Amino acid sequence: MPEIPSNHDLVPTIRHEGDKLIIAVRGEIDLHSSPDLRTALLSVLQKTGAKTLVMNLAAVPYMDSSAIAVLVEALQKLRKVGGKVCLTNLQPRVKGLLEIARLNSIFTILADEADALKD
Amino acid sequence: MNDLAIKVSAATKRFGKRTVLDQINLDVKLGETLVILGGSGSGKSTLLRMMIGSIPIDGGDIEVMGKTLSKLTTAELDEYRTSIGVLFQSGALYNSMSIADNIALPLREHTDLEEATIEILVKIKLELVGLREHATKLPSEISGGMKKRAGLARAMALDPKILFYDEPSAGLDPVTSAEIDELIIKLNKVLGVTSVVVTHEMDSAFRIADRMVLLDRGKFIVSGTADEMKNSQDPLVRQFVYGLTEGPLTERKRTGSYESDLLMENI
Repeated sequence: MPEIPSNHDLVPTIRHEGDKLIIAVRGEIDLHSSPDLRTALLSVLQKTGAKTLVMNLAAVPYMDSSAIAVLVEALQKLRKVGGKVCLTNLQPRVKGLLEIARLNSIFTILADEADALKD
Repeated sequence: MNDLAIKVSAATKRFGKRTVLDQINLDVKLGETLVILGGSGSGKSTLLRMMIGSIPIDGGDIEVMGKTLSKLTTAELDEYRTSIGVLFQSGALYNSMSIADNIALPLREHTDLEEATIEILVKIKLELVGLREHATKLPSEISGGMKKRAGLARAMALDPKILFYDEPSAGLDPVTSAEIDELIIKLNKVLGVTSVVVTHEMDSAFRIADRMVLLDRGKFIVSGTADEMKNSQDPLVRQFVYGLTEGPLTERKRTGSYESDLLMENI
């Protein structure tokens, strides 16, 4: 499982598992920090050419809708090449926001990374 | 102030010689939905306008998230206003901009988000209020109820922790009104958004309120849960809550100065 160096505090670890890119995100993501998340995600997608993005959100107690919009943007790019975004380990408030925004069906929501690797 | 979002202490407002709010004390807890009830001229909208910092207070203080509004500089007050969301009665949209651009405006003005992110965010907010298919229309091309929903989408654009609603149900059909209520409840229960709602629509108030307060002629009459208000024995509360035609509110109008005014006895 090769690790990819990350320069972003929000994204402490990035690694490959087969054709999947596993990204752990850490901290609250709001209007101020979501541009950083966007930069990190788009840059790693461009570098690796991965088609499946697995976002482990275990260490994200809260994200606002700008962060959700960044995830949708990543999904837009991956859908164009037949890929997808899996979200794992959702905390209740993040899960709730996805439900309110009616976005829980456009992402693949899974319990944990192990499920994502099986998917 | 730890568990308080808003603390109103002896707030007083005068327009000329008329006192429209008289020594109002009110606490709003974090994550609470507080409904401010009152008839026309009760002072409830004035109280809301003071809480959002759009009109100055004449006496007392209002603290929001630990900030005393009367002590803020103009720049700090501007910053405060971007940290809260306000749904105005009319929706308060810019007529020259499409609905989507109205919602994008605070995101473009107050954040560093890229245009691609803003575009998605606007669609998410419009979907929340059921207006996604009307994104490109101008405010003049949609109904009053739709304008109000667009105003709500704009109020939510920056994901504020506190939302103020001025008559959110007024002018809406019953189904849309119930949908807006449902959204207020979800924002509160799921995301912990603190809501202050000014209304005189009792069905809506009972659906959304954790707690209600009743204002009458600029004075604070009573505070309680929906059940406490329903079971109140206070004649004024009962008349307001149940919309009764007989009671102190109508009595006051009847015994007013109509006769002496007509006969010019005061002149």
